[in-house]
Amino acid sequence: MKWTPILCAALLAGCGGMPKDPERTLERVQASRTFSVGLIAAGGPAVADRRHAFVRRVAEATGARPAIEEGAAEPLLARLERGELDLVVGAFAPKSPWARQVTLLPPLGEQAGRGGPVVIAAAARNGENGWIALLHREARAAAAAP
Amino acid sequence: MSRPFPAEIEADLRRAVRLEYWTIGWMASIVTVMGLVMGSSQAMRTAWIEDVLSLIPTIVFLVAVRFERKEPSRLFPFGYQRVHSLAFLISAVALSSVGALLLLESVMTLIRQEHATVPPVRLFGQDLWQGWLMVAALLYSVVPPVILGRMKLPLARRLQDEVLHTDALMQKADWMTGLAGVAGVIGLGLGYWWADAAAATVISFSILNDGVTALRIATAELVDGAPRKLGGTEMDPEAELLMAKLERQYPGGRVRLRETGRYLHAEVSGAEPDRGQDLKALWPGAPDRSWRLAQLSFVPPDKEARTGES
Repeated sequence: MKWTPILCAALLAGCGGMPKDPERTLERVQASRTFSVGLIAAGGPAVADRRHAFVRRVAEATGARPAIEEGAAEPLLARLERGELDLVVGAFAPKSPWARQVTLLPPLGEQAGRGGPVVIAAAARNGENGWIALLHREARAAAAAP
Repeated sequence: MSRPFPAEIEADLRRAVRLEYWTIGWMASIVTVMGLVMGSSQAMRTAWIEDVLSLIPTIVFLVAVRFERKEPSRLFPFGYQRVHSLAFLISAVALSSVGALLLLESVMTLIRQEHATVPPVRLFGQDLWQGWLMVAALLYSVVPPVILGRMKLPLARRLQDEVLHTDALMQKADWMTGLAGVAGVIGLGLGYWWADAAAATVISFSILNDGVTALRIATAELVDGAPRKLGGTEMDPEAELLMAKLERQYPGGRVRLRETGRYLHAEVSGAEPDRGQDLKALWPGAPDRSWRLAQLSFVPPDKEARTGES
């Protein structure tokens, strides 16, 4: 029992800065001062503005420079899943099948699409909970911004 | 019309029924709280399913006790004591299923290398990592099963109740899974995606072992095997004492014992019955346990061949 306070202290110290990322995405972004972003090439100028505003926010919050590339949704999301990209931003159907393979963050906005409304949102690699927490915060703030 | 239980166990039985109703209440609240904060964590989902399944022994115990009270009828001339054995089998299957499910889910998570996402949630205007809510819910889910399980074990022994005993084991499975869940969620928070699945794998072996042991005893009971020790596969010591006493009392006779629910039935073949047999006086163990011997029957020497013995 005499070890209990030491154990609790160690646990609390270890819990500081939780959650952390299994693949250390946030640590790498902060250390290398760069993060890779895939922008899904679809949607009008309103979507583009929302995407860029969000990426700028993330850059400010991490003090890192975004390395942006544009492409089609499918290959970008597959690369995100493999950990070759840190972030993908674009328009998603509300019931996108990608929602299980990657983590969709709170929507940045909504717009009318051909098959109904689509949400403009960012996606991150599953399980990178520290990185996801930061993106969550910035996505909410970006959505609330005028 | 209901049939009373032996006076020695009436009070304990009433207490056990009360405890089971408390269990349903507490477990319902735990299932609700866990469901609200579950998210996509494997450990949380497994702990939640485990909590739902853990209600099976509780419910079958209450149903079995209700049936056990019923008088024999024309269609059920031997009464309903054996409903208890059936309830035990159902509970054993439930406990084994929980162990197997937990093992399967956690091994699959490890093989697929699933990285669970636990995002932050907005609470009272503040961002809070959902993992902390999960840990709080899991810790809440641990407390009632520890207390209820500990209260049920001595009652199960006094009542010689395998269903209640399995239920207490299920409660142990509940709190162990809860603690594994806490370790898993904290592990996730520390960046170890495999932590919850690894903890759940270790614990699932213990639960599966308890379940398989219970299944073996339940099966033995249903196929008229010799009475087994509560929670074990070896022979019941009280039954061994009774057997030795009957063998001394009826030398040359063949003594067989079987268990029907909590009660023992003895049969002596190849011997003539005494007049005015007192079952309570025959019981070799503690007098307050003499209620266990429910029946002593005889097969006279000239009829023995017809019982199909080898």
